[in-house]
Amino acid sequence: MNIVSALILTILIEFVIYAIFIRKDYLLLLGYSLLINSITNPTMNIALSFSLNLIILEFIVFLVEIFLIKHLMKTKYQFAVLLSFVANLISLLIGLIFA
Amino acid sequence: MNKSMFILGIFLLIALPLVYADVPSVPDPTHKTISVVNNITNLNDFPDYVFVSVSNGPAGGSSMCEVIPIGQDQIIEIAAYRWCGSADVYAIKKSDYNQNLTGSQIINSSMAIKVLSGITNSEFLPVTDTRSTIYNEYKINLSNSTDIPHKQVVETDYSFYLYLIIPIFAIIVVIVILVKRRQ
Repeated sequence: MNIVSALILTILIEFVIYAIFIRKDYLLLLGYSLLINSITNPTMNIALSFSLNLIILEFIVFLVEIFLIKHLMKTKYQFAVLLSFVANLISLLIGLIFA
Repeated sequence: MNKSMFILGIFLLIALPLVYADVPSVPDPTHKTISVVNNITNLNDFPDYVFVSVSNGPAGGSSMCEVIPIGQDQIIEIAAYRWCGSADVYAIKKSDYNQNLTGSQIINSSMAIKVLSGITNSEFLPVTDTRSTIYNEYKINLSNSTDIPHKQVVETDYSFYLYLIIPIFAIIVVIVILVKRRQ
């Protein structure tokens, strides 16, 4: 799996999570998933290739996505934390099972 | 959210990357495999010898890892089975050589002279590495074995840096959206 296919897979997985939680404006949610993951996913994979710590990077991605979800989707802080947490956990799980 | 579920989730978020890091067969977007082409440039200086590549990995010497003679193209072929690992090159006098020799017979034979060692046909590199193909040229002599090519040509591929454009462009779009909303 190269960086682009990993990115596409993550965008789709996180879009589904956003859609399940928010249940409206699906096209907009797809756009937000595209934007959010286009920032975090390639950056994380590039950082990983420099042998940086995966756990720390995952945590940074989790924090960055909280900020992006809160401001792009105009949600409450607690909801952004929950959404970022679930989206990253599920994408990690699915990546592990199907990669 | 139920507190115990949250703690379980945190545990999974921390534990899963550790599991991921221990699974070597998972396709890894952070690394790539590149080709290494090895050839011997002075094979014709030894017309009385046959040169063969013999695997030296965990399965090296066994029937799973074939002994591959080096032909007129002077390119060193390596057995494909993954446990064959890298290869060593041996010179055997044509009068002593027969095609049925196994890897372990050659390794243990006093008639075979090791001339090259640790030859690989691929390398596993970070995606940030710009090398795309490595061409190694070896000059051999029968009196000592080497693992250092006398010449190395490296093909490079800078397309990786295109990936940097994706997050930069996305950050710009997010900034534009947030600024426009504030206006």
